[in-house]
Amino acid sequence: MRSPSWVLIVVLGLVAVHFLLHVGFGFGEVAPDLLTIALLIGAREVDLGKGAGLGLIFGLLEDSLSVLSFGANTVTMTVLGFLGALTRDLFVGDSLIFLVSYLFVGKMLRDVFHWVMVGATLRDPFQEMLLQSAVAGIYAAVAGIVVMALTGLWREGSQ
Amino acid sequence: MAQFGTDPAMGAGSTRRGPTIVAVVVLLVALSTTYLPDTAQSRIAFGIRWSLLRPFLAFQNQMTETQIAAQDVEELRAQLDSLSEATMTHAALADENRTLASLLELSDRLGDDYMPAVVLRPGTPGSESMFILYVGSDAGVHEGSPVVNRHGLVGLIREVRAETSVGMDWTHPDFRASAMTEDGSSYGVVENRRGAFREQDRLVLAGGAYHEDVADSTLVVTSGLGGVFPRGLPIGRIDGVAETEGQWSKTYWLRPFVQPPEVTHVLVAFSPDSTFDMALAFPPDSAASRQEILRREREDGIRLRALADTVRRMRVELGLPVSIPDSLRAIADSLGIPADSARLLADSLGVPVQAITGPALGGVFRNAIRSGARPIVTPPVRRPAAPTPRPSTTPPDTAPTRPPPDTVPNDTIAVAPAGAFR
Repeated sequence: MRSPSWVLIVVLGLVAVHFLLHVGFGFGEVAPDLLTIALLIGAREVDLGKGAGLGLIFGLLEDSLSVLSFGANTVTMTVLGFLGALTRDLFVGDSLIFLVSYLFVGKMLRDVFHWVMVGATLRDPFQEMLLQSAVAGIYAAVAGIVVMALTGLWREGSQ
Repeated sequence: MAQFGTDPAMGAGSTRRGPTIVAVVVLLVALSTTYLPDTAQSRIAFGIRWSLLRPFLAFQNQMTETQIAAQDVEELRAQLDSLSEATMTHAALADENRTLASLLELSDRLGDDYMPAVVLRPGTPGSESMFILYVGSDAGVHEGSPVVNRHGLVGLIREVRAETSVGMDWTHPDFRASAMTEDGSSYGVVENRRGAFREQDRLVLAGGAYHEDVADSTLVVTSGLGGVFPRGLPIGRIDGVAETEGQWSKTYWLRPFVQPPEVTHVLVAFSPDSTFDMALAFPPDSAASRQEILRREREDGIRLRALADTVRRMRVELGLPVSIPDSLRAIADSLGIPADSARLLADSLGVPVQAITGPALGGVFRNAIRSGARPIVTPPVRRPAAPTPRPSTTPPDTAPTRPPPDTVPNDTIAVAPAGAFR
């Protein structure tokens, strides 16, 4: 059940749910960052160019709602999509430890890149960002594994 | 565990060159978005919001309206409960009336230059201090339009489209407002001061003269300088000196009246009259945060109940059975409160309309309300014998044998502060 079309459906579904939770219901930080999870899952399935392109689109979607730091999310997600696609060449397999680490590090990198790109005036203190990012990373990793397990993109024992 | 190595399916380096070049191009495109002019960025953002994200924003709007409707139902239920309770405590109903009237009054005082709008917050990274309003240039909103609510200044509009606009509240680092103390003795710029955490963000009044001392709790309003905000919009109250710069400038902490997370409804200016002094719409004695208003209303309720108890005791002690509805009206007029409110108050005191007292009780009533002292809890002094009730033939508005107000012992009077019946 891991055909490219199914992965695409899952990714699009995650994007829709992300905006439904964050924008529609206005849950904010309470809801996991499903957009990043979708990018990390999707980028593992495509090459470098498509991974970066996916990140570009996702970043533009988020930037459209943050007009005062336009471009920060776009660059962040593009780089993340690129790196996500790059891991395909470096790490093969879907073990639980790898996926948890991949999602955790991916979410942290997303927050760190965004912090760098957002500019000094809008930037939160570094320690605050690091603390929140670590918590958000764990949250994203758990949510990502649950999503992948529910959608059949990951099964226990799979390599 | 994950296997480390090259995916054999990927092939040789030549086949990876194409995607790598595409990735680099995409990365350059992404980087270029940060350097686009503001208008181009706004255009792209609006295009995406209008197309891909439109369903989600519409859904949020729907959710907000549903929440408001739910709140309305709760308010209606509360009003129903209040109505039931009003058979015993009409004063509380009158008090609630005043609160609702004050909301409507602000809109009336601001005139036709302001329109109501519901505040929507995206809740995504980078949008913490911004909000979206479903009013735009079609309705006359323009960039820089002030956004206010009944407590004072909320923020201003940063970007306007035909049907929507994006604003920022005072928690945004770019927020600045030229401000002054209420009496105009000290001027400065109000800005957001970032704390170690977002929860520690505070408003400050920067640039105050070193030789001037602005007392704590002094009201700070917009000065009207610079033409962005009209003069007289309440911002907050002074809460101590934050810092002094050399010997030429002081910065003060401010306690803001408006807490952005609590803001759901605002008024947006679409063609503000620059000469209009907002002090007329926001009288200094009405400037308060939501918490302060609730506390004040609670205290008013306690004082009203204390006054009711006192008058009830006085009525028992003085024996005042005279029926004088006209006197009630006269008392209400002299106190500057509507006659209907006085009737409600009389009912809440347990005094039958046909037994409302004349000048004697009126005087006590007036003194009690105007004296401004706090309720006295000392029990009433027991009198040897209660006065004989007056015969029912006594004409209204006359009570010659009744003791004058000054002879009523103070230890039986619980008094309300001046303004309790405003």
